[in-house]
Amino acid sequence: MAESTDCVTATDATEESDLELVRRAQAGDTEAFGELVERNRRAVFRAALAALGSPAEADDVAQEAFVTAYRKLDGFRGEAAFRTWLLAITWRKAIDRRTTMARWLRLTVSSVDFGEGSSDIMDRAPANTRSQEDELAAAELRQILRRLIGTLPRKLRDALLLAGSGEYSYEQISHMLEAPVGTVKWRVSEARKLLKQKLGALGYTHPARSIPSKSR
Amino acid sequence: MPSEREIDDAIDRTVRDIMSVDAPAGLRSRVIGRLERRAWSWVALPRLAAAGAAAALVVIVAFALFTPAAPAPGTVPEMARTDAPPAPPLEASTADPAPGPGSGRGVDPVPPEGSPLSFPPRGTVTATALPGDADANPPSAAPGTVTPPADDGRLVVPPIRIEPLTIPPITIVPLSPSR
Repeated sequence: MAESTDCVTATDATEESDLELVRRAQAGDTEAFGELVERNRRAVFRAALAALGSPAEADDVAQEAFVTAYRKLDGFRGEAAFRTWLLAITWRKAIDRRTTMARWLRLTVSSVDFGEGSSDIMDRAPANTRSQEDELAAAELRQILRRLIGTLPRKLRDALLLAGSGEYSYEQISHMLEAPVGTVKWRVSEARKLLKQKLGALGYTHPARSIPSKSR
Repeated sequence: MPSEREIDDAIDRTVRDIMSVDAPAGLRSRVIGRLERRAWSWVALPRLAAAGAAAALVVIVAFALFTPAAPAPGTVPEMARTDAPPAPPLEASTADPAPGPGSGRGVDPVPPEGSPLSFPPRGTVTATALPGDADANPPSAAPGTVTPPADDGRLVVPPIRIEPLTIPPITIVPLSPSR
């Protein structure tokens, strides 16, 4: 009971701090809003990235989302957390961009490849626990999974990427997607099921060992 | 037998890898820069509007001061009906019983025979019009405002009446700055 109270107090303190920054920003303090940007920039950017698949487009949408949030700041009454409110704005901006961009199909394909230059979690496995063959097979599986994720239906892919990023709670995702939490969880489950079906159709019954015989 | 857990793990890792891109550096400064530029434009807009309104006011006042009022079409011009005091007799060169189109200005381009020639003083510019020139009147003269010569050959110069200019007040509604 005491732990629960402490947890709530800590959360409220964080939210209060955000609220205080919001109040200052509402009074015209751009530095306070800059602090809010700093606190939420990664979440905002990644939400846009999940929708658009392009880091450059996501950066542009993130800027627009922050500017829009500042302009609408007077309408923020603190009924929801500032981050939740901000993420909803970001998601709408990103979806608007995605809708108006005729090249979304091409971006979907490229989204399979974005992040290739970034650090690879699967490659970070200790060398003594994985053979070189396993590492190559895992890398190939990763590329195939990226491509398969890009072919998922948009609603399933959005839910999978947002939930799988570990950046957002289901409540925040629910607010962004304007869907109940149960629906969001169902979409994530369906996305995973679909990926497994596609992998099975390709013969990837074991991610590390079945690649050479099927992919070549 | 394929490991379900390994496939799930591979999906999780791939999704995290896709989403592990960080925002480009300087997002905060770029956002603040955009906000400040936007704030500056909202401050500058009322000033520009006020300057534009002031310039328009100056132009309107200048136009009103230097443009004579035109009478309503179809009415006798008030200036022509003014009971002007009799003008002093003019020189013989201007007493032409059948003045040409440019006689309203007091200078006849073709003096009658036998009359002494008179020239305008040096340094002055006179305008004349040939017969048949439809645009003989000055641009500012409305139709029917040319004062005809009197029966006795003397020109009647109506007095110039300058009516005070009334300028309606201009109200400039200040714009409320908003984000």
